[in-house]
Amino acid sequence: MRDVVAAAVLLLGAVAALVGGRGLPFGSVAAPGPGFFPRALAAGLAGVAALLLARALVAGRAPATPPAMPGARFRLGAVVGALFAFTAVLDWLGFVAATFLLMVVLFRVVERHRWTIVVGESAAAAVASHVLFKTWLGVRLPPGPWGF
Amino acid sequence: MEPAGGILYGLAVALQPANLLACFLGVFIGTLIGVLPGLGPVATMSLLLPATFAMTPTASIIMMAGIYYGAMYGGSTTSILVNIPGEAASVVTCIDGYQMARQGRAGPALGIAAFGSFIAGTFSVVMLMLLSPPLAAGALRFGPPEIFTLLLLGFTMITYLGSGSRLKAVAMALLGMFLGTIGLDPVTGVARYTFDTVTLSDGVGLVPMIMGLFGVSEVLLNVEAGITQEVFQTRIGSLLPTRADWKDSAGPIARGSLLGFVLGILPGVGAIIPTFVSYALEKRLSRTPERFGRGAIEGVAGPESANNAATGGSMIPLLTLGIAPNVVMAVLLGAFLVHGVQPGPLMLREHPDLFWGVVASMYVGNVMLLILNLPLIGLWVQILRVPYGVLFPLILLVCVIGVYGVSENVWDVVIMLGFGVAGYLLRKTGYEPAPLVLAFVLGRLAEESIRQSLLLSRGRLGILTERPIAAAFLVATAAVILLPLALPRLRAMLARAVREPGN
Repeated sequence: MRDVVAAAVLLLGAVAALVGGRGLPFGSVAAPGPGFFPRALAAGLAGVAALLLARALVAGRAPATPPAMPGARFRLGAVVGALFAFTAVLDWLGFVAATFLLMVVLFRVVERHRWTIVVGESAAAAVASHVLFKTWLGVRLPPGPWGF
Repeated sequence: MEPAGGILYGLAVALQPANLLACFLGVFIGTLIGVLPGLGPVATMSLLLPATFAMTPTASIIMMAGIYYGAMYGGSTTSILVNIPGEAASVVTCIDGYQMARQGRAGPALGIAAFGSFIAGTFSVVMLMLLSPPLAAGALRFGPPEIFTLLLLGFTMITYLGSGSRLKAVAMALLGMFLGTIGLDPVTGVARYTFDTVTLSDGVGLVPMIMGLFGVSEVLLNVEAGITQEVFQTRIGSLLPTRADWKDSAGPIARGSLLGFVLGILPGVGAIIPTFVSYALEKRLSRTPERFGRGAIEGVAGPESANNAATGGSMIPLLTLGIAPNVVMAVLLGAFLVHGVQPGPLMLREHPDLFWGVVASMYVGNVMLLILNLPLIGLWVQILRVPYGVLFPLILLVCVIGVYGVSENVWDVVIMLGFGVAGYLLRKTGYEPAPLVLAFVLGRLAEESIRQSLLLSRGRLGILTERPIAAAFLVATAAVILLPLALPRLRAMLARAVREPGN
């Protein structure tokens, strides 16, 4: 089933790229235009994805994969969600505050550390990374409303 | 400059205090991330790229190269002690290295991995030094048709030499090349698939892609699996291999060095495939193949030598042609370009200090690694005891800062996360991300070189077959495609001939 879905997603993506690239001038083999390579590559990908899809459909049901660890999906979802939320508030809250909140979610929600430890390790991670990367290595990180 | 004069000049450059410090930092960080599962050389080099802006080009390339070969050393430590490969080129080392540790022979396993790596690393630097000048001279005759046909050979290798399904590798290479076309068209400047955004008009960034596909996705897989590393509770004891160990390992180290170097030069191979080839070769050559998988020291010595020799080999196409043969070299190419240096045939003449300084620093770095690794193994073991629950939020944080630091654009972080999720799903479904990244890097160059070739020839594709070097690359490409198809038939024919001598 996984193989079928993966191949179908690739096929859909390739078709979308073909449709989305209609406006790009194609040119010819002797004088390729801006659309020649992306559209040729998308067409090639569509072909290969169709083959993979056919192969997955013929192969039928794969042997069942071992069940994931209990709570694995939740942990995975929490990590990905926290990271996307972090990007949404990074410029607004500034690096130190946003990083502190990200670490709190990862240490508390995903890893279930005790609250007192969570606050300590999150603050340490936020401040230490600020000092290491911004102060010492000169990486420009967003200051937020606090100006640091 | 002759190689002997060059290396003396290079040593003078490499031994300057700032460059020596850069080399030390590189190999130290490299070993450290080689030890940590989930953070490989590719992600680390991308991460530290912005931190090198303030350094001289020579110091920053010395540090970047040090991270790469340092990681090859560090990766073996986790394979042997924890049965978790610190990075992909040490997967094979797990097989016999961990078994040796279980039998109380962790010390000799770690020792032979370090000595083998040192010998192979030094061999590959000597070969790099001897081969680069003549190859760079030859590469001056390369025009767009030669570059395009060489890249064609590279694409074929990428898809044929992967570890998983060949059709899936082709799909990933096509997807990578397609992603490489996003941004402004190199010839006409027309915007392609940019959705009128500024972020995408420069194209998809290599750093967010690599950090997402290799760094974030690895963490997601580990979080899902809930890995708990258990360091094997054993006294490491003496790290020095016995005389018998040396006798068993001499051949594998020599063969691994040669194999790793030669395979490393080829586009699309990298440091991982030589380790598998070396393991298979040693098993086949052994009089007692049944010992493999049960703690045979040859199974550690050969692959560990091969992955270190490959690092020197893979520098050759980058330094002489300006073409990155694998993903790590693509990041190193990015580091050169950031500092305003175009690697390629002219580099030896235009930046001899950089070329010879980097080559000589690899000698120095290999010595440092040998000195650093053996006494510091205790420290690496302590680091391995840090629970993954504490480690992974920090690895993610480092990925975020690395990507943000390059462009100061939060959308690049979003792109990295997108690639992280995509990389997780791809690996779950058996698609390897490496061909995607390599094709992404080479694809841009391929499009430019074929379009320039066609402009040169006024639209005649014959230009690819009329020039001898380009034609040779086309023949080699055809051979790579046809050989795997022809070999089984050839073998069957031979077997028939043997069975029926009358025919």
